[in-house]
Amino acid sequence: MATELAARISALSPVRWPSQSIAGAAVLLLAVGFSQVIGATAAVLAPLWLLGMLAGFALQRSRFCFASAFRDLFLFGQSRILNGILMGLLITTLGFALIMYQQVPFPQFGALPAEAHILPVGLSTVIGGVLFGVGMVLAGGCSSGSLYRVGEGYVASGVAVLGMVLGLGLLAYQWNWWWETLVRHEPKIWLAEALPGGYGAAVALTLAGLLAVFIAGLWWETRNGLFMPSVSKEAGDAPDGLGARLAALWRRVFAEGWSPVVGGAVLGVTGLLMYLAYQPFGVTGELSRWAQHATTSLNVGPGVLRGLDSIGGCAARSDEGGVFTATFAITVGLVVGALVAALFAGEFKLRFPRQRRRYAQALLGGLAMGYASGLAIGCTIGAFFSAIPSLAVSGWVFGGSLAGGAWLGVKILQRIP
Amino acid sequence: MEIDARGLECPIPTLRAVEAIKRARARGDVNELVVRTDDAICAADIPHLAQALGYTARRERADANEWMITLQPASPGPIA
Repeated sequence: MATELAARISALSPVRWPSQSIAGAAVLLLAVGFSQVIGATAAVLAPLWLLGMLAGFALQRSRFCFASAFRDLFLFGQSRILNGILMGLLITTLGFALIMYQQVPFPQFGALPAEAHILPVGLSTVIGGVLFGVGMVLAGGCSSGSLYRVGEGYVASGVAVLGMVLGLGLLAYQWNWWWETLVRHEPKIWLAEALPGGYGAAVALTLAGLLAVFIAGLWWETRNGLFMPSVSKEAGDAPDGLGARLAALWRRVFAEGWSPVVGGAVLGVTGLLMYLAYQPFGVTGELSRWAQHATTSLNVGPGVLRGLDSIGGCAARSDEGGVFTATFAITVGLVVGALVAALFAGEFKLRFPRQRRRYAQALLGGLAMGYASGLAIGCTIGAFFSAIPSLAVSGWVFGGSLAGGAWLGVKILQRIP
Repeated sequence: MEIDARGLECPIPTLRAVEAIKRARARGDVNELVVRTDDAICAADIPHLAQALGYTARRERADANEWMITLQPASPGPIA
């Protein structure tokens, strides 16, 4: 078996899969062309579509996974992937502050920057975060993670996305109860307004928080008996000459995976550009729009949802009409970008899980994630990755709750044989 | 020992590899472990975790979607 495998390895080296690359180029051309179609609806949708694709490309290349970032802390005692998120948050925190400063130069007067993801913070954030954390560990990927894995051909991830849409639909029927009981009483705490030092103090505190998490991660790895490994490389010769160097560069971008830190940095810059173009990065809004369209077209809609238009974040976008909206551009663009990345790497393959129960796990996990992201007004992207750089306290509370949920999820996962 | 984790999705292949390393360490077993996986996330994670656990890792791509990772204790003999 091993010798047969070795023979296949040498036969395939240097690694090239031309047919998928051609398909990748074709999809890329079509998708770039489509940016003109979607741009005809509203000009801003064209750059948002392309940025959505870039996000999907970066997610696929770096296999950036919020679920594993939190889960691996408890499953393996490892913080390597979490560090990628921290890198992204470092970039977005600095950039978001500059954008918000343009909109609201004097934060102490109580106005909030319109598009920033400053969400109500309270028990709903904690419940949403914990439930989402459990869900993403069970489903094997969070919302953005499941979406980009759909682009790679993972069937179970498609089931998780379906579960999310169902969960968001279910939450809509109970939203008014949550609104009256919890959410309407919860404040939106914006650090730039709450701290006497304004933006300076808010950014400094946020960066200090990120540094503290980084150091805590190192401490946690050490405590779990892990030491920093040297970077592992696939076997290969050092490139020589321009052609070989270009080929090596091509392989590094399009064929080999990126490290989590590189992925986090690219994702951070992408999120920043999305905010510059229109709004911060979020994917829940589009999924909840699908749920709403489905229920209203069947005439079983949940009726009027109270308070949503005042909340902002991913909620503000869910009632937009038409097919081509900003959330469509970002969310569907993400899947297409991931497909392009997978094709260029020769990694696209329809993958059906070997174990049947993966479907059930994905559906249940997706349901939990959908319900939770409806309650918390966003997922690992909207309520966390875009909320912390918005200098919102809700982002930190949601993040901490995600970690708690991931811990619970790991406990459940370890009981499944 | 060979662990065939093909068809299993993240994090199960990584989990199997880490469990195998920990069991081998507990037994003082210095034989190499071969992990086969078609999950790219795990293919990236396993060498890192194995090295963090005191193993050397050699990753080879058998196919666009399949990796063979050979793990061996970094220092011969049982690791404390």
